[in-house]
Amino acid sequence: MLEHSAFTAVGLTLKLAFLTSVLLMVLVTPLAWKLANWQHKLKPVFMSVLALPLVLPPTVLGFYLLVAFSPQSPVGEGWQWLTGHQLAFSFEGLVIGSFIYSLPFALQPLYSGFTQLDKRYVEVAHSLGFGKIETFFSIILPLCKAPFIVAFGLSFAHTIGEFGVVLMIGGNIPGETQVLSIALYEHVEALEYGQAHALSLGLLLFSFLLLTLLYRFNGKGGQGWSSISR
Amino acid sequence: MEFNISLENRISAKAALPSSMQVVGITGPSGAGKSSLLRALAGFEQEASVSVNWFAEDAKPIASATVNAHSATKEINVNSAPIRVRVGLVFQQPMLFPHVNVKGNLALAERHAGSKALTVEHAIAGCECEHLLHKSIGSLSGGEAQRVALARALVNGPDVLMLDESLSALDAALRSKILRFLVKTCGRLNIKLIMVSHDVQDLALFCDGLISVVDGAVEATGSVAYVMAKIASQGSVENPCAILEGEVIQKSKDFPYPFTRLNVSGNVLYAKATVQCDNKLNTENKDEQRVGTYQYPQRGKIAVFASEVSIDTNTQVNVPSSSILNALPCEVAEIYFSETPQSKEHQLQTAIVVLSHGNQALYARVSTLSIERLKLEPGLSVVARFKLQ
Repeated sequence: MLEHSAFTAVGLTLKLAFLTSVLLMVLVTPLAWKLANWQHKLKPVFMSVLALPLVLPPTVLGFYLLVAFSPQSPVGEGWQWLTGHQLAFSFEGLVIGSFIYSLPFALQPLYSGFTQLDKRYVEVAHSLGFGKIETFFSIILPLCKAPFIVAFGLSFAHTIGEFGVVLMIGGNIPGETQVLSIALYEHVEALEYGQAHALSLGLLLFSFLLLTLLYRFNGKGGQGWSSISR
Repeated sequence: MEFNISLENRISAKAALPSSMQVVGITGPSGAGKSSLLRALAGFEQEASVSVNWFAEDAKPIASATVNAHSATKEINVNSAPIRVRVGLVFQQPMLFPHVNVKGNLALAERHAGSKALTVEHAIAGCECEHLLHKSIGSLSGGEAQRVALARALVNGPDVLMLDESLSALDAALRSKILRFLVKTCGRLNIKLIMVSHDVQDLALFCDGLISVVDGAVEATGSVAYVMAKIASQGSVENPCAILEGEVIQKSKDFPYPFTRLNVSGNVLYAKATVQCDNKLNTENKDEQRVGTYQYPQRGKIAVFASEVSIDTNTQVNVPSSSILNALPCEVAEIYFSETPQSKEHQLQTAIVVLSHGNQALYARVSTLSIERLKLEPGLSVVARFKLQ
């Protein structure tokens, strides 16, 4: 039987994953669109920087974020001045860390989707008198529905499964920064294998179901609208 | 209209045409830069330097429009009063929005309908796509999709409508029917129509003016007859097309054949389908053609390809021994010899013979052997015999 703290961890994890994914969708969409339509010799450098969280050990990223969030750094100091509490070991810190850690998982599907989208759809929309915002919501978003859903799903799943970064910048404060993966780690350390099994199985099933849904959806409509579309 | 467009390594084009030319065609060989020119005019070539003035003669003090690459709507200033020129572009690939059906596409276009917009009912009737209204985009054939794309543009009602091979998937009869509707509609609503097409016949029949583009530069610009003569003399097109104008002879019971007859200065020509009637006289209201008891004859024009014309030095027009129905007495005006590496190799040099019939011109593509045998030279009276579709 799961303890009350486990439910708290589940709630906190879902809240963190949802907030992170929404923030990523809002902020990464214009970035991905810009990158998909940008030709410059420095583009590979930018793309590499944005993809770094894919290959960096989470502890490395977590360490740098911890340094940046500390009250001695300009970022941490500024945050403390604005909010009255420190950024490291806070839920807000976790959201920022998760945002950076999951950024490539949102960026890559959107970038691919926008690259595959025939830009003449956008030109036709402009020629019909659509403004940029209207073109995005009426044309680009429906045509790139699959990349958006994949980007959101992967960001959500990846945030739920993160461990290293959370441990470094969030610690293990129940109700504040103790997410599922950290709670699981604590159960294993305390030799509470029953609790660990229950959490692991839950995470396993959830991840499997989410990925199955994403693959199914991507198979149906994720090929993007190529130039052969009418 | 006037424009001056520069796109590095692709286009350096400058042209001016009278604004009275409502329908302007752009012709040229493949890869000449016709589509790029159209895209630049529409403001879709971000790196192009574009200066365009759509209604040059209507408002002389117009400052050149600055084209915003992100918007097909341009602002020009006429005597300090800003005028928004809405430019619609229909591609060869129709680019219908696939997430909605035909009706949805038309509804999206209707959202920002301008003052020159057609109603959905009128547009789909004219573009022959009434039966497609509830179909999904994926289920449309190429020709159906092109017709819907055209209807979508008309429902939006631009000031300038550009067609980039937009009806290429349609058969000749349907294309001709829709072009007739389109030219008439654009004339009625004062929409400037700019058409790119490989089909010289369509351009010759339906356009008021032509722009010939070769290697990204404007080779010739002006009336259809002038540009056709120019490109025929320069060998830019292999099979130039001439336009003959005349009075359409009304159908009568004593002529039960499926031909449209055209009286060209006393000579009757027989065409099956490609008679384009003068829009100024061919109004929807037949009463407008009548003044008092006199009914004005309807003017019509036909396109004659150089490859369809043979030259007969026997100047008797009506020869009962020939199956070719159409004949016009002409005079050889000029002969242009075309010499391609292939023709030289096979000793098959050809020439374009320009024939004048009054103030109208015909082109005949003949071999140099025929020219020698018939002793063709400028000033010689001949009869041009040709088939018409």
